[in-house]
Amino acid sequence: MNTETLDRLLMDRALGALPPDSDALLTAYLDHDSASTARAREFDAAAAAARRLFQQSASAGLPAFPALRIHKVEQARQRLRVLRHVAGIAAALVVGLGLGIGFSSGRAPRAAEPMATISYEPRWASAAAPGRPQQGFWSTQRLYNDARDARRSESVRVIWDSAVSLPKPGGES
Amino acid sequence: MNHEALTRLETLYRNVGPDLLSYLRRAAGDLHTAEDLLHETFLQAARRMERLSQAVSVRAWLYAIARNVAATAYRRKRGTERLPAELADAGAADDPRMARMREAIASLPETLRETLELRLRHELSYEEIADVLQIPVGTVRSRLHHALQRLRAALV
Repeated sequence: MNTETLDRLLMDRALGALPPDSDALLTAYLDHDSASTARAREFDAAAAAARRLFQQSASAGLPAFPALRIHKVEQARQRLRVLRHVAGIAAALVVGLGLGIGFSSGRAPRAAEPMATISYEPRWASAAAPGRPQQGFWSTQRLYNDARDARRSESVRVIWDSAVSLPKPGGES
Repeated sequence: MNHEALTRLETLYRNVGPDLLSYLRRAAGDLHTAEDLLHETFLQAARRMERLSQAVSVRAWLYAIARNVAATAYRRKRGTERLPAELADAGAADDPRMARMREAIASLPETLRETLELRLRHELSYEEIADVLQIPVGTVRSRLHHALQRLRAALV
């Protein structure tokens, strides 16, 4: 066993902190090592002297148990706990009330604004064609409208009166 | 606090109180202050009864509270006389070895002396000392070994 490890064990033993089985093993080891036995005696003597000095200092009588003080402190704590509870509830009410008032006195919701209307007109229909007037009988707009109406009137009606049959072309709309 | 808890605390006061008083007396310097600190320790203990189950032992728990109470009082007062004055009364005047030992203990740094005292005077285990001082067990062992080596050197 090296000196460092042995010293640690010897000091733990002198301080009374070595487990009994380790103590027995160490004692058996020391029986065969006189130099270590001398070191062990030195540690034991130092610990014993220190213990004696520490334990010799004057011991004083114990004052009475402060039951009344503890009781008073406990009562004060309970009062404080109740007070905190009440204060918490009051704070929650104030916050709730404040929020309620804030919401009710706020602005009424605005009426929905009309959505933007998107209209489409082919550029060629609105663009002024060179040499053609913007309005009137010969205008591009009138020609476009005529063509559109003519197309609509030519559309064919589809008759699809059963879910199991194919659609059939019907008469003109 | 219910009656059962108060009775338990009173039992602890009777069992551990004398040791705590001597511990606090060393920390405070005089008996009157130590008694006040002892009462304060048990007031604090009454407030923290729910934490008792987390402690290594009841003794370690009470010592830890006492140490905190003493430290707070010490910070307020700043500068009470500590262990050497008390050890001077230990009746070792006619034994040169004990006189050397007393000087050696007095010359130990406070951290080593306090750890040694908790072990030799109050007989707390290494684990309990670690709980009281809020340090690892390895540090407790190391401090005790350093202290004992210095005391041994003083006797040789």
